[in-house]
Amino acid sequence: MSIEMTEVLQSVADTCEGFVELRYVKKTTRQIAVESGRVEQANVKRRNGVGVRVLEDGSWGFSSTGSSDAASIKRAVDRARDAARVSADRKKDKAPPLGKTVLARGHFANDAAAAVAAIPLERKVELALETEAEARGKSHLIKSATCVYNEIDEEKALVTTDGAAANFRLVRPEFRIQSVAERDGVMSSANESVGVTGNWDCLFERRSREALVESSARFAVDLLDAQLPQGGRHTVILAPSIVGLLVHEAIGHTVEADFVLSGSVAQGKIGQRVASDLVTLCDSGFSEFHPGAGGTLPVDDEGVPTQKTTIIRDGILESYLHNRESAARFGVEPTGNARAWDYSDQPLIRMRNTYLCPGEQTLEEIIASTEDGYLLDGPRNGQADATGEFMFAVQNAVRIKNGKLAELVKGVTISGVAFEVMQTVDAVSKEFRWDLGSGYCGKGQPAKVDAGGPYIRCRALLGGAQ
Amino acid sequence: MSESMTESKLLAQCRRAVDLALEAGADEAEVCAGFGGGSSVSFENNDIQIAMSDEEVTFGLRVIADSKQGFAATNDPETLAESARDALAIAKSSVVDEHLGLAEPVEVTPIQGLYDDAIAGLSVSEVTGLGVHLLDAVRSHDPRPSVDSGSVTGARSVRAIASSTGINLSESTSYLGGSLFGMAVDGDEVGSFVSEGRYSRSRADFEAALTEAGTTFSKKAIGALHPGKGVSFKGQVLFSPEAVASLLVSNLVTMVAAPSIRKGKSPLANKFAEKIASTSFQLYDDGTIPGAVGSSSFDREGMPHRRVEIIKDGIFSSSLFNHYEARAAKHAASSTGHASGGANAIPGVSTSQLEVAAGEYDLEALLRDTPRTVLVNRFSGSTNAVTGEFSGVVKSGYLIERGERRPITETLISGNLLDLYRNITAITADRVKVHGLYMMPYILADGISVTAG
Repeated sequence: MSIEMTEVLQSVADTCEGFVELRYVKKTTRQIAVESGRVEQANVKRRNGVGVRVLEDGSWGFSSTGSSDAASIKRAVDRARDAARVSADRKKDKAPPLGKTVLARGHFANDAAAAVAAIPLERKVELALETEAEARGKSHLIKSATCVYNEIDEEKALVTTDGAAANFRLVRPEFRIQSVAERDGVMSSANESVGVTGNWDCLFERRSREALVESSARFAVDLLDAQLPQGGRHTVILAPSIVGLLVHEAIGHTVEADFVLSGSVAQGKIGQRVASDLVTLCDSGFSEFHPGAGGTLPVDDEGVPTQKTTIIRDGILESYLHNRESAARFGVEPTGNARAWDYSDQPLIRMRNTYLCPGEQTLEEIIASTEDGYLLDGPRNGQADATGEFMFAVQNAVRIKNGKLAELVKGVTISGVAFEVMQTVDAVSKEFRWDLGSGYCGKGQPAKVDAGGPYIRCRALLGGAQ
Repeated sequence: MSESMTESKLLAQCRRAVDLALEAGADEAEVCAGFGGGSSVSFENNDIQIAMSDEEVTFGLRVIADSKQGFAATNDPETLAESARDALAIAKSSVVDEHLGLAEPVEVTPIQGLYDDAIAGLSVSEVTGLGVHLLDAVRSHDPRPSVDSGSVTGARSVRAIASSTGINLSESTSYLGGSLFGMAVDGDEVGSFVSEGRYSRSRADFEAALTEAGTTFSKKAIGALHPGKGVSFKGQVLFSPEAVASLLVSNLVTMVAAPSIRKGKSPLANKFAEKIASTSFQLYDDGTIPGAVGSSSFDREGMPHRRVEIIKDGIFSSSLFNHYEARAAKHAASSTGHASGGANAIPGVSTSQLEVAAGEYDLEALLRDTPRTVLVNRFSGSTNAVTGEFSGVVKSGYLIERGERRPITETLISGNLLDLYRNITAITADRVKVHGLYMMPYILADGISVTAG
């Protein structure tokens, strides 16, 4: 379908004057949620249409249509042009002309979407029902469990009047399990989740479904006996899941060029030291080290082929993340970070797969050389501020005493100022994993992203105190 | 804005889709449709970023066959038959649930003040003009506030529900909203994120509301600059109306809502009719307030909203039910008109227009007379509605000691919400509207751990 729609979009683009960007999106979402043996959610949602962006007199206008015929798309172009003209009268700082750059053309093939779509819906419902029942059966202390299977099957076609003409289809399955334990009125819960860009083999490649169930149930039960940690500044070893959240939320957003222009803490710091020299940070449209990272995509929503962008190299800030407009403002090449969630959304600067590069040590060596601290894994949620200050809740926090793992603690939050914390990094493991593929980034509209990295050791503030 | 979609046209499409679902083999069928059309202007870096004009219709088909449920949604009216087949196929793959069933029609009284022709008639140019008005209000007196993002939106919505049980309802509403998100920048220093917004069903006086939003945003952003270290202690913490809404009330609503109780995930599951909060704490929901942003004449299942006293004198007085949850409840219950959600999802359970009743304390007197407290203007953290535990960072916060206040950074608060509700020591008389949907006072609570970095 996306190949045919490329031709329809091209036929409309050929009639347009000035810069016009046409983007067809067909999104099919299948979601199943099972809890206590009940199917809480089972649905299929189909949404398709064309989003149109026009740049005229240094101003942008946007419109969209749920109809995909040429006449409807032309009317949307007219509405977007009217909107651009209206805002041009009032916009203070006009967008510069978009620079010439390499734009994607052709079909970017990927077989995973067809493979996942071919799995019968009945099998997907069964998977969720079996998993939820297995979690409840792991212990008499497990009072309830939830299993959610979600897949986003997305076809895109993109044409711009300055030369992009690309299409592709991707599928992003996600799988989540939550166990809730209770004893004597005390409750605890634990989650495990995985999300990839790829098929089911990829989804359960690193950890099997059975392993996810086992881990979720075990942590829920173990947390019943866990104590709160001692609050204050501590040495912490962050697992790839927490590293991923840190580099995405607390650093990645500050280097999105639109936020840089508004005055983020990363403004004016290109070429400056912002982290320990053990830190090299990248954002990539590819899935380095292991296949299937959740934010993988071949072409961004402005038609720019994605690439690997090194944000921090050996502790020095090297690049921001750009769309075509910000690249023109900064006088650099676009980095392929313009992304839109649905056809009715305009492209914004978003991350893709954000990661810290692995180092030389093993996790075992890092733990052994830590006298007093915590090993933190499994983020519950997290936020970061304009200041770079972040707060993440941690599910699995284990005390380290004299170089050995000790007791599990609960209710832990970790906080700090990201660039200050990154300056304290003194150990980076060689183990690497993607661990945020089931998550979504929010910036007015969702985006599927992934993040990860090695284990790192640093200093940060722990909350959840007694 | 488009006048193309009417209530009668949308309702007719819903009825047709119900017939398609029944023809496909459903025992019962419900179709909810939502049309939205309007204009908006977005901001970036203290300037207009883009102007937009949009409209879309969404249909959600819920079917029940052999006591099993399926749901499908589409934005293409031409594919309603395919969606009906999708929903049936899902139902066949699902499991039997004896509590499934669609609501029977009841009398619905229209709520007044939800639609304004003056909003429906706004052009993209007029909406852009309102956007410029809001941006100008932010930096009219001080250049340090920086708008990172935000928007002004004017929209008209049409909603319709038809079901095989005889529900045939439709309603038009209008909405005007302006929001800001950003921080203050003073030389090399960047302040904490702040947000502000105003939302209305009426066009009248909206420029004044935007002016107020802009100046409030500016004050909040500047107030967050130059924070210092806090102090660690266990004691009283003062929550702003925004923090009351996001931390205290939203989690309490999750705990008292029927789905959490049915699933055994609420610490209040066995506390109905028991005292769970300070006697001074009253929480109620009322989706029938004329002209309110959260009001509507009927819920996602076509049931009328009503005022529900959730917490009265500190006692857990009512849970929140949609039709399914009422049927599935252990004790006899009926829908409280809290079926929530749009056309693209099956009905959930949520509130409409939440209020915490005003207390008797004066805010300035509280700030002056409390020996030591932290004022939490925004809470950025983690809460666990299963256990009640919370922990997070105080944002745009102040340490207040003997009436002296200073902004603080890197300060965490933690505790358990179940203790917090019981340890409420003061509620202010003044209340503030938050996000257009909550009317909240300041609340002082004791026994909270404060950890300074």
